[in-house]
Amino acid sequence: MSLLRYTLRYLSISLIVVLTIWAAIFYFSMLDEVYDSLDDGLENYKLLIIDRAQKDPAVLHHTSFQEGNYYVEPISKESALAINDFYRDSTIYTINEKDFEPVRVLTSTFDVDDHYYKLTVMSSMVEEDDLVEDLFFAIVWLYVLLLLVIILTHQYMLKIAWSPFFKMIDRLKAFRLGHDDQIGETDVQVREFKQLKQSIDMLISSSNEAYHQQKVFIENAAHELQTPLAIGINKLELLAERIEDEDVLMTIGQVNEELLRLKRLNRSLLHLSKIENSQFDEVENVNVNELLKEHLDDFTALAEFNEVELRMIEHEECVVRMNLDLAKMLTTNLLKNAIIHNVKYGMVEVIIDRYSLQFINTSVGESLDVSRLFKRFYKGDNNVGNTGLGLSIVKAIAAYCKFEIGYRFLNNTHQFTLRF
Amino acid sequence: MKVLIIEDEPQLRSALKESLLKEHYVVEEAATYSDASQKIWSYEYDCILLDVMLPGGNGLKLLEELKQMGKRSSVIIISAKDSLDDKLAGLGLGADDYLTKPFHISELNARIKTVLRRNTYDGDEVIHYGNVQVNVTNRQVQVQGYSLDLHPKEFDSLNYFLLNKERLVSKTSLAEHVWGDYVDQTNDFEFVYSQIKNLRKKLRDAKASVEVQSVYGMGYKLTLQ
Repeated sequence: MSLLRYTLRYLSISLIVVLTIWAAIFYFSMLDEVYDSLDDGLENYKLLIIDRAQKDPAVLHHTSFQEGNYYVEPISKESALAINDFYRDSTIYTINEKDFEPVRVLTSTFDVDDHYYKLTVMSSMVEEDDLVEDLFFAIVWLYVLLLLVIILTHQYMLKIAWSPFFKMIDRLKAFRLGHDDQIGETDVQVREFKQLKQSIDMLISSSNEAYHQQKVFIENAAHELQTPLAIGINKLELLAERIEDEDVLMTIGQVNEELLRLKRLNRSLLHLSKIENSQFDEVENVNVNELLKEHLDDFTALAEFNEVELRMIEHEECVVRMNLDLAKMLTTNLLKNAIIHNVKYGMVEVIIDRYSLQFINTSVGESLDVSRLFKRFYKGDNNVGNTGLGLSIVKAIAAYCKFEIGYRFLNNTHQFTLRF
Repeated sequence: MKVLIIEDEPQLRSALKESLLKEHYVVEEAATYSDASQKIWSYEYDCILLDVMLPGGNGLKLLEELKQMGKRSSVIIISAKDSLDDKLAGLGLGADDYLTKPFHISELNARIKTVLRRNTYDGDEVIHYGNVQVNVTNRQVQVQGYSLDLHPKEFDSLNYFLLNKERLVSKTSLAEHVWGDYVDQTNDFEFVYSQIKNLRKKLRDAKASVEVQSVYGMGYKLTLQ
């Protein structure tokens, strides 16, 4: 729900309530005024008639409403004394409206020379239903008008007053951790937005700081591990030279394997953090065809051992401008994966086009989990000794060099495609 | 041959020393920048193993000092930092090689021998071991005068064994040296066995007096029969 609709919802509801209550109060006070005024008029009329009746006996013969707004009827003294002045509402048939219309009626008594008379004075009154109707429409119109004005002002306000807010939202959408320091909007005049901007900037700078610290921490930790690892590996290698016992040698070999695994893991982490810290900024023209020919040569032994056939299909020459070390890391990781996660008597196909490089390998398994494939420490099958960082490195390099990396599972083959 | 180890970590220093003594080098040690500086001013070394981060100063500065003195020692930098800048700076200052920690003992051996040879011989370089002759420059192998036809990777393996003769060569170290740094991403070095099997067969068929022995669980050792 938009900000406009949200505020309008509450405004429209409260407006209805306020206007209805207001209309009711207005209606009754209005009616009260009308009665008051009418009753005053009737009182005055009554006094005038009584005054005239003393001088003009013709008045006393005015016994119906026919052409005046009063009539007089003689009554006994007793009943006259029993009657006090009283007002009441009534209706009368009007010729022009052809309907009964409301009237206000005053009944009073007077005497002329000890003859008592009852006087009834009438005054035409506002039609209540007309008044209610008029008032109702007036209020509806007021309501619609108010809403319209509010919507228009609101829209205008949203455009003008909230513009820094929407600009901030746009900046935040485009924000990348570790790349931007601020959301940048400077011409903020509204205090609340200023506070919002300050809070966001503070949040960003503390997040950035934490992010940088973490990156530096990973790199430092990995570096600090190098020396103890070197000591462990070298001492173990020297120890192995002194041992004759095969069981002990086997154990030393196993410990050594674990240390080497740690070394690989550490190196991969270092590579990852270096890529993410953009420390591979020297670029050159890398001939992908040449590079892969070299790799295929290096990996032949591994492929033969795994009984996997390596095939290279060169459709065109592919030259990419990038860092050579990254190019090697990128291609060896993909090639290695294709060989390792394969089947016996399977195949690996490397297809080189002008702007793309594809690795296709046979597999027993099913499609890999695409959402987690490139995440750190993702291990599709339980390959012991795998660091689980290979594809994260591939992804990081692709992101760094702005390449596109895609995966699909087709005809029982894993297919990784790089687009340069 | 006299080697100076400049490394502040005592455990690593002792491991390196133990290994170098096995190669019959004369080994000296320095743990700090000033200690190292004093030693290189006072003595002559054929090879210096140099750590970059030292207590008391940057190891790269020692390279400048060596240059000032006009000494021709071979220098191999051993650094925990796999940084291209450091590598370029070190090599620019006259270092012969750059090795990133952690490394294999056999890799260090190979590097030391290679730089020592490079600085000692100028022309063709031939290694004799048993009845095997290996010409490193034109990559030819002869057994009893007959040339042996080796696959490039087999030649590299044999060369690596010769640089570490009678020493343990772990299969990982061999794989990394022969099949390149990036092969160490392969997690599994069993494929090395089948490669070595071929090399062994070729040596045996040519009646070579050297043998690639398996060291159970670890790797190989090149020995005389």
